[in-house]
Amino acid sequence: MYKIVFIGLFLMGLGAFIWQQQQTELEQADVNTPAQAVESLQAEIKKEGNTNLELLTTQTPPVEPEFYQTRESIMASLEAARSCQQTGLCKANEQDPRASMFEQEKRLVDSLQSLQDLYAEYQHEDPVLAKTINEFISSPLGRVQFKALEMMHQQAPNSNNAHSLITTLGNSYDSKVMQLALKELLRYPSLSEQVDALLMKTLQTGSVYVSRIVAKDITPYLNANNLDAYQALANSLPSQAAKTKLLQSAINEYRQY
Amino acid sequence: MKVVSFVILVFFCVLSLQSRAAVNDTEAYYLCAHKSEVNTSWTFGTAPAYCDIEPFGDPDFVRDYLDEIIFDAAEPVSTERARYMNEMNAVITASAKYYLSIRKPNAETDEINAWVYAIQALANQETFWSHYRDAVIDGRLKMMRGDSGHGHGMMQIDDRWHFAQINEGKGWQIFENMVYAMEIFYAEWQNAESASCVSSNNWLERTRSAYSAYNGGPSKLCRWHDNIAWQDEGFADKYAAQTWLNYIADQHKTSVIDVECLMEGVEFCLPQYSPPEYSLHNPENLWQYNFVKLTNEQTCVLQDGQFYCVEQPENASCLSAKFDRILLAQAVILDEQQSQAYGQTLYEKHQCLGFLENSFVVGQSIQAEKAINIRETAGGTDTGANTVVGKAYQILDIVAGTPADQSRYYRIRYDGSNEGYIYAGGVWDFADWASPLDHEDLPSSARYIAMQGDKVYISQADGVSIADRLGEGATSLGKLSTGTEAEVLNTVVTGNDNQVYYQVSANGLTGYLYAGKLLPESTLANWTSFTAPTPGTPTVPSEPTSNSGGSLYYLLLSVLLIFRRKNNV
Repeated sequence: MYKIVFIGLFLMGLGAFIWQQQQTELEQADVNTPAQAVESLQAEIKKEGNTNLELLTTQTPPVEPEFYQTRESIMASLEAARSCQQTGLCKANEQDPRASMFEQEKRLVDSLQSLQDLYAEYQHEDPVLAKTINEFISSPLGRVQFKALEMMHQQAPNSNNAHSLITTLGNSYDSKVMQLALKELLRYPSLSEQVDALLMKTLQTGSVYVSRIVAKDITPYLNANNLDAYQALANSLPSQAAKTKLLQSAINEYRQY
Repeated sequence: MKVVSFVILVFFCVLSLQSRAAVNDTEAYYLCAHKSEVNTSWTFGTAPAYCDIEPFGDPDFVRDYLDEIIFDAAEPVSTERARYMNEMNAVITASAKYYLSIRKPNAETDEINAWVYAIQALANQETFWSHYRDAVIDGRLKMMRGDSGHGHGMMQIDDRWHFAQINEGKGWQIFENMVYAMEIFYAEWQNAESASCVSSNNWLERTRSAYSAYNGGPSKLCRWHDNIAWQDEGFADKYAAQTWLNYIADQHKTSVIDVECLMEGVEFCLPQYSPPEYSLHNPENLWQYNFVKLTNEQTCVLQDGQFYCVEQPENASCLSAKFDRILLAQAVILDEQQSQAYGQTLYEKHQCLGFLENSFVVGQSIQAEKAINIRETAGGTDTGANTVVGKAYQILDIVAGTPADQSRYYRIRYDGSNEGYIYAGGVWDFADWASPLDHEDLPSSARYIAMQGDKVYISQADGVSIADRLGEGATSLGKLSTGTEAEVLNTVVTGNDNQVYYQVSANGLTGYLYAGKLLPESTLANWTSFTAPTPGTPTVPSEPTSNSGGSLYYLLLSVLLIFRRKNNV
C-alpha cells in the first residue's frame, strides 16, 4: 500500500515538473523557483545598493515541484489583487466608495494567507517569502499589513523586514498591528536603538490608540539603559493622558523586577 | 493522464484562493433595538433612523455624563436644535483641538483652525452632527444609524468594515466614535500635505484631499481633483457653506462636558459646574454641594478648611460617601489661587473606595444575585456575557458610579480569562445584586488573587524580593527563588492600577512581596501561581495553523491519489 502511494506521489511530482516546464513561457508571477528568486533579489540588491545579504543566506532544502506550481498560482492571484482597483476586478461602488478598497484588502489577505499556508505545509522558508512580506509589511491597508506581520512573526528573524516594519510603524494608527509588532520586534535586540526611538516617538505624538498599546505593553522593552529616558518621557507627557498613566504603571512594574 | 490529474489538482488549489466571503456580512441594522424613524430627517442634530444605545452601551451613563449633547425629542424642534448645536459645536471644537494637540503639539494656529474646520465639515457630511436622541415615543435613549444601519454614530463607523471596533464601543460612545474617525482622517491629513494635487499651505485643497482618502481609501487622495466623486462634491459644498454656523449663537461657548478626560478613555469624567459669584472668604457655602477640581487635576471636597481629594475623577463618588453631601456628578473648576487656598489631603484610591457604604474590597469573593450583563468598562460596551445567578466571583477592581446613590461596579473574570464590569447596585439595594462569600467558598478555579491561608508559588523567573514592610523605607529580607512555596498571611491592594502585595511566610521569612497588578491587564501570573511549576517541562513548538484551504481539498487530493493507484495497479 505504501509503495503504491509513494509511486503515485512520485508520478504526480514528475507530472508537475513536466507541466511546470511547459508553462515557462506563460510565467507572470515575480519569481517561480528559489534559484530565480535569489537571482531576482541579487539583481535588486545590486540595483538598490543594498548590502544586507541576510535574505540570501537562508538555506532551505529543495521542495517538491508542486510547491512552486501552487506558489505561482498564488503569486498570480496576489498580482491580480495588487492592481484590482485599476483593472476593475475590485468593483467600484458609487454609494460605498471604500468597497473596492476593502475588496482589494480581502483579496490580498486571502492570497497572503494561502501563501502562508503553502509555506507552512511544506515547512519551507525562502527569500521569495521574505520579499513578499517586505512588500506588504508597509501596506496602507491595515488588514494586509497585519497579515504580512503575522507571516513575518512565523518566520526566522529577518532584520531587513524589521527595518521596514520600524519605518512603517512610525505613522501607524492600527493598534492591532502595533500589538503584534511589539512581539515581533522583541526578536531583534540589535535594533533596540531604533525600536526605542520608534516607541518614544509613538508615545509622544503617535496615534491615540497605538500610543496606549505601546504604553501598556512596553515592559519587555525596558532595561537599565533606557529606563531613565522612559521615566523622563513619562514625566513630560500630559499627566491626565491615558498613555501617561499606562506608561508609568509599566515602569513601576519593571522596577519591581 | 498525469498532466490531466495535476491540472485538476492545481484547479482546486486556485479555486481555494477564489472562495472568499465579504469582510463582515453584517446584517442591516445590526443589533438595532426599537428602531425609530418617526419625525426625523437629515437636518442638523437629527437623522432619519435611530436605534437604542443598548445593547452596545449604557444609556444611564450617557444621561448622567453626556446629557448636554442628547437631542431631546420632547422639546420644540427648533429651540432644541439651537441649544443642541451650540453644545455640540463646543464639543466638536474641543475634541478636534485636543486631538491635534496630541498628534502635533507645535501646530500653528492656521493649521489648528483648518483642522477644526475640516472636522466640523466632516461631521456635517457624515450625519449633520447627529448622534444621541432622547425619543418621545418610547422614552428610550437612542443613537443615530445611517446607511441601512451600517453606519454608527456621528462619524458613521461602518459595521461591515469595522465590526470589531463597533463591538468595542467606537460606534455608540461619541468620544470613541470621534477619536476613531480622527485617527483615520489625521493619517490622510498628513498624507495630503505632500499629495501632488495639493498646493502648499492650501487648507481647502488639503482638507478635500484628506476627505477623498477618508471616504475612498488611502489611494484616493487626489480623487477630488482627478476623478471627482459625488461625495467629494457634497463635501466641498458643505465645507464652503458652513451651514452649521446658522444654528450657533455662541461660537466661543465651552462645553461643561470634560472633553479631554473623556477622550482619554475615562468614563466617569465629572461635567463642569458653573457656580454663582463666590467669595474667597467664605467659599464653603458656594462649593458646598459640588466637587471641586484643583489645578493639579485632583478632584476634592472642601471640608472644615481642608481639601480632601482623589487623583482620578472617576473615584470622586467615594468622597461623597465620606462627607455625605454631594448629590450631582459635577465639579467646580478652581484656578491656581483657589486651589492653593486650603491644605490638601489625598486619599489613595482603595482607601477612598472603602468609604462607599456596604461596598466590598478588591479580592473579596461575591455571589451573583442577578444575571446582569458584563460590560467592557463600567459604563461601557456590553460584552454579550452575563453573570450566572449563584455563581461565585472574585472582585478584581471597583469603580464608584453616581454620587447620589453611591452606585458601584465590580470587575470580575468570566468565561476563562475574560474580564469585565458588572453593576452592583447602590447604598440601598446593593444586596439585590451581589452578596459576600467567604474566600474558602470560592472554588479554586475562580481564585485569581490569593488571600489569607492560600499557598502560592513564585513564578517569576528571577525570583522575587521579600521586604519587611510595604512602601518607602522597607528593608529587603532576601529573594524567594522560582518555585518557592509561600503561605499568604495577608493581601494588600493599592494604587490606581491595583498593585497586589502578599504578606507571606516562606523559607523561614515573613515579609511582603510584590505579586503583580490587576489593571489595565492582570500580570499576577508573571509573579506567583497557585500551582507549583513543573520543572524541566520542555517547550513544544506549536504547529503552524491554517485558516484557509481546507479538508475538502485534501479529500480531493486523496481521491486523485486513489484514482492514480487504481490506474496503476
